[in-house]
Amino acid sequence: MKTVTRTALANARQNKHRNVISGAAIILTTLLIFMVLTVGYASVKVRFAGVNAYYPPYHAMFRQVSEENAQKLKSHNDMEEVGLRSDLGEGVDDDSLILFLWMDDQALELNKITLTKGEFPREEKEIALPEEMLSEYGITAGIGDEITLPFQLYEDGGLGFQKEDTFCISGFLGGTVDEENKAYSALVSREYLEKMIPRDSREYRVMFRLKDVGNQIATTDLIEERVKEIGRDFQVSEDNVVINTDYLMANYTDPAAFAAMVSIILVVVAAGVLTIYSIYYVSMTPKVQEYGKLKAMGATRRQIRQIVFREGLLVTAAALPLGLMLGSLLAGPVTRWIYRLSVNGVNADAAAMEMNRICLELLEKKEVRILSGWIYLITVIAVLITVYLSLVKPMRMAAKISPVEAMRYQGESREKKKTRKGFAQMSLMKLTRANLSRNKKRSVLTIVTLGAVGVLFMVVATVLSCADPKEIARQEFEGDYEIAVDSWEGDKMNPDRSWVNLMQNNPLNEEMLEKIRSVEGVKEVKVKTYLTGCLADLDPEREIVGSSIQGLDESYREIVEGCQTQGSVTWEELKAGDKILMSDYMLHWFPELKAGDSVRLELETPEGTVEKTFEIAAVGEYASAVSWANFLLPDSVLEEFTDANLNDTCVIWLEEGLSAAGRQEVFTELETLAKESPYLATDSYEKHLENWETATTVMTVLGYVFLVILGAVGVMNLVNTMINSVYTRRRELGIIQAIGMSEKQLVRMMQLEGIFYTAGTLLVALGLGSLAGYGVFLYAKAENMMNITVYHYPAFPAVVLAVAVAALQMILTYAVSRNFRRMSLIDRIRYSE
Amino acid sequence: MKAILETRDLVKYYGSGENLVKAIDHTDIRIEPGEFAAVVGRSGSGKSTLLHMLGGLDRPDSGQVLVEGKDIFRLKDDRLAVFRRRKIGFVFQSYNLVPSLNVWENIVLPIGLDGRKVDRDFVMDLVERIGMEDRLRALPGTLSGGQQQRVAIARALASRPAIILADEPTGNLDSRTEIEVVSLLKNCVTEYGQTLVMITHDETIAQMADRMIVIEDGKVVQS
Amino acid sequence: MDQRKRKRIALAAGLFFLAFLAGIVLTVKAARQNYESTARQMAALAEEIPESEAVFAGILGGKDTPGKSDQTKKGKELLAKYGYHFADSLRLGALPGYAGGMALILAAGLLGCAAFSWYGWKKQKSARAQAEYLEEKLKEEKIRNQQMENALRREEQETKALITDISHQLKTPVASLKMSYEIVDSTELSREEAREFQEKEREDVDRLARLLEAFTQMSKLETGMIRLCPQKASLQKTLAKAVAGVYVKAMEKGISIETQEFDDILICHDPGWTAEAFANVLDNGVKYAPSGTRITIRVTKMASLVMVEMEDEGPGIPAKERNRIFQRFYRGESESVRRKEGSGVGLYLTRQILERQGGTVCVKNGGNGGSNFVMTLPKR
Repeated sequence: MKTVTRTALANARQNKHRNVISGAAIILTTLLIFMVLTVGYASVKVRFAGVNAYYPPYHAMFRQVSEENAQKLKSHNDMEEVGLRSDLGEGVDDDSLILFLWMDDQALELNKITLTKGEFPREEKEIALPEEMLSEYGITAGIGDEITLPFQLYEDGGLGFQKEDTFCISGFLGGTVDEENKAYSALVSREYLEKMIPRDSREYRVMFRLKDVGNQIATTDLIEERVKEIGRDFQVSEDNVVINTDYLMANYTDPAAFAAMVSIILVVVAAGVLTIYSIYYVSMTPKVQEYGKLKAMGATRRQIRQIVFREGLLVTAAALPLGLMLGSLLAGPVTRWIYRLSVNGVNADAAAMEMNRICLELLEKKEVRILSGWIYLITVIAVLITVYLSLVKPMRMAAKISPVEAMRYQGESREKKKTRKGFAQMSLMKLTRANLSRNKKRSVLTIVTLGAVGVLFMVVATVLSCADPKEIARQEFEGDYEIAVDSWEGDKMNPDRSWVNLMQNNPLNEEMLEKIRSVEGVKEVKVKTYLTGCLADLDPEREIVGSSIQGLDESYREIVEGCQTQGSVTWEELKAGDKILMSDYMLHWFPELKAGDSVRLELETPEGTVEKTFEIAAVGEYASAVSWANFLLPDSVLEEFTDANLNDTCVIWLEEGLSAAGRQEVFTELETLAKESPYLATDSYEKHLENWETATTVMTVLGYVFLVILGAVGVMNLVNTMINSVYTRRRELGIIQAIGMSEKQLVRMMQLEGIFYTAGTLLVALGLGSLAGYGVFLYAKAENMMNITVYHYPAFPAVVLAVAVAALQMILTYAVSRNFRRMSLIDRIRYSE
Repeated sequence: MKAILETRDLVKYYGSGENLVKAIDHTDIRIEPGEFAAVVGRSGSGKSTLLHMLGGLDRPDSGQVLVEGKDIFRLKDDRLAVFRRRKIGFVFQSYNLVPSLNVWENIVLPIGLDGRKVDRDFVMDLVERIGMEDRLRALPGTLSGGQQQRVAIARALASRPAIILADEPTGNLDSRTEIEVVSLLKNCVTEYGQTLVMITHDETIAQMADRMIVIEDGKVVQS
Repeated sequence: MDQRKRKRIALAAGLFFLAFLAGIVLTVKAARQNYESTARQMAALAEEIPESEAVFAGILGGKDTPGKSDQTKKGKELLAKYGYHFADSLRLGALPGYAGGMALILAAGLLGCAAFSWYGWKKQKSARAQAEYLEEKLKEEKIRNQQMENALRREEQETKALITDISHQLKTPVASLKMSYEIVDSTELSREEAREFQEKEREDVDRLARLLEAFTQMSKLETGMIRLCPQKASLQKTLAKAVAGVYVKAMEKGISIETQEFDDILICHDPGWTAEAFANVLDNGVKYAPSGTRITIRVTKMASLVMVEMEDEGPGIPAKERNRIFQRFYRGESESVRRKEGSGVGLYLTRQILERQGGTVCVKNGGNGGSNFVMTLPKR
């Protein structure tokens, strides 16, 4: 046994150079696999942790629960955590909503109520409120001070008479206040609640977490069912069951993204595996010769196997831990860096920004563990398996043939070629060609491996260059600025947000429009109207989609008529009022719909639900800049359904030629106008642009870093092939030099070979890669990923790739030939097997 | 009469101290144009080293090698290669041929490396002489030892060098094939007026030479 | 060559002329631009202050006001006040376009020249290499000629040596004869003694005759009087002829000559002389092998030549003599060999004949202690 190990060691030392390269390849592959897995997994973990930190973590809430039931629910078996809240009444204020309420400890936790100073109210007259609220009332006070606040208690479904009471501030509440919709919550003590509201009138909101719901993926449907079931048991009507969909949705991973991650991992693993395999494959010739020698000396098959393994393992044993260590060191910083990048970008969504900030905080406080054991395990197993597979082949080869043949092994010649057509005249070029065609398999393998990396590079580059932030933003946003009515449906907690409600007192009225038009710098204003409801036959519960219709004015005629992909309809026909244009987006959910079908829509208006059956005259593909709605109609048609003001979105174009400062001035003015109503929201092209610019930056960086590592792996491969191809042909080259090839010609020959590899690789990479890139582009376009619509050929990255590959090849050739030429001519010839 | 090949006080030592091997120890040799000289000696006597020096494959520690009166080791590497290409044809004991080229290509390789066009008639003549005219497209792996050596000879002759240096060209062959190979060499060389220096351990073969140079311990013992 | 050169010059001249023309065109365009811009300035100024129209015309027309240099400075300062610098004037108008155009033409011209010169340089290099090569070949030819001269001179010397040798060799038997008949002449000999001397004389004459014959043959071969006439002839016939020549002698000695069967082959050789060469070897074998032994003849067809082996069971030839037996007049060191009659030229002739036909001859140890003479002849 010891001899075997000693031989393995000696072998390893002798083949130092080869083993260094294999070792490097193993390190890189390990690093790559490990990093991708770890960073990916960590990102996901952090996301979940962030979600849990940001959103109130309760699954559902029951409203209007009686005191008795509330207490009962508290001890319900299926519930993991139950919190109670009871709203007493509202404060009196013009422009903000002030709620007086009580929460028990669990509710405080579940709702993530925090204190900046002081304590929660315990005594009867104690109150805890946000500090900003005091400024609303124009009061300055500190903890322990007494303040008097006006309020109205809830009585009989409405608000009672205004009262006043004095409270003692026990603490200030933390948390951010939404500037636009000013809402404050003031916490009072349990005693105060009991005192002010009689037992029978008390209504509670019960928030709870179900016990057996998994952390990550839980179908909202199942939860909803369970919750409703419990509710029924406790006389909670379905209307009063609120599912915390935000939280649940944030915990739910998009299957498409998941699939993407898995495929990336597979690709990475495959690339690494391929490289290690090909490195060992390429250096197979000298290995088989060695084994032949061993066999001739009397080593048994088993001993040879052991020697092989131990040598391979030695290298792996050194390289693998190194790779893992490197990965462990880098994983944390890399993940943090990625999140930092995304935080620095400006997001349109306050919530998303907050999320990112929290995630970053978690990462920096190291509250989320980035390194996990199973990733180490997977990486180690993957690498070991590969090394094993790559070692098996030469071993088997050597075991099969006789020692003498093994010693004389010159490389695989599967099809024993007897003759060769050959050339009439010889030259350096033709010699090179003959050399290359001799071992076709190996050449092809090298080119394929490198080319594969190149193809990946091109694909990523294509995607990145097609994702032009400007274009995408334009796809999402018309004009320069937008003021829209901020309505959404189905929010039982905020029923005032429903469109049917808002249209009755539409803030986007003629007055507002006038004000907008009169702002200096505004060139043009377009108004889109809106109506929504449900698809009576297809989705009456509005579980999937509603029947949203955007009403457009004449200026959109061209777009409406030009975007049609199925069927056809003219503007006039639509104006008639019986035909409707449907978005192709609908086909995702209802693939059976087609032009010519009828669809029955129930539209909500203040006058009641209006039912109308339209004929889907055409299906169209229109950008989200035009509308997010599922149907399009001329606004004149919509007007016929109701008298209410259907103005939904006001798109604003600014004058051309304004300086940046000038534009900002206009924006500020418009924003001020929008602030006049809490139901108006603003958006700008700049916001979208910045958003996308950040996103693409992150993607670009990630993508290219990933590729650089892959590239390094590919380079290893090339290096190995070139070195090998030269060293196994030492004798041959020596003899050719003896018969008259000069050193210069030798170098030229090596360069020609290198050029061949380069050209082959570039052909595969640029050729196949461009095609693959185009294919991916088409796929992304179809799947509507990242709003990619226009194809840009990644010319610059392609040039960089070509230059890099060419430069690399030249450097390698130079290095290898320099090294080779140091050996004297005689030594080359004398190289005996 | 100027010697075509000459060494003056040639010295090549390997190793040092106890391991010092005097491969060539102050050797002077003259070979006339058109001569067939056989270099004999036991293994380790330095024959191969001498031949390598003559062909410019290895540099001596001191001394000169003159080919056609020119000190070849004053030439730069590239010029030396050109010189080798045009003046000298090598035949080694084994592994003479490039495995990835067929017979014809192997033969015309030196001509191609020199950038010259092949004189088809002349080369075909050579091929017929060595009796390989129907195996022009065969790969070396399919040829026997004797056939390989014959192809090597043809290659050595194809570029019409002034000097042929053969290092035990018949070492791996049976006695009959041995004689054939040497006869062929001698024949061609005489016909084209070339000089042949051949290392051999076989005294039968040495008979056929005009002259025998015996080397022992790096020195010329008999000439 | 001349025509080519002329064409090239014409081409270059044409290109140059074109470039020149282009330059002129561009300059004209630039000038017109300038003129138009002046016109525009004139119009604008006139519109602004119609009264000073004439003054403007004067200024723009180029009628300089005195104090040119400070005017320039003052003007520049004024312009700078309004943010107009030299750099801006470059950017104005189509000047960049024209500059670009000129630069392009220049670049193209330079590129063309570079390409031309590179091409020319390459041609020169290959011509030089060709010249070198021819020089080398010439040198080799010279050496070869030298060789031939030397060979001729050697032949001359050899002939001289040959004559010396012949006369030397002849001397002995002639002297012996002379002595013999002098004795017979001068002394009274008994019948027996006389017969003894007669015997000796006969021997000497025989010897002389043989020597003469051998010399004749050798000299004919040496002096090139008889050329070898190679023709495609049957090897079998030639061998048969050789065997026939020595058959009788062999029979007398009880030595059998066995030819192993072989397929006949037509090779290019001189049948007469080649048979002679074979015969000499056989003769040798018959002479030195003990009776009752066998001489085996084997013919092997190899790839490029035919091998004829003649193996006897005689005493063999010691290693150090192997090379020398083919030398002229060499008769060996051992006494037993010397005692036999022979001229010492047989094997020498064999070698000459064979080698002149592109064949070879050498001797190896035979299987049964004797010698194996291996001769080759090319197949073609």
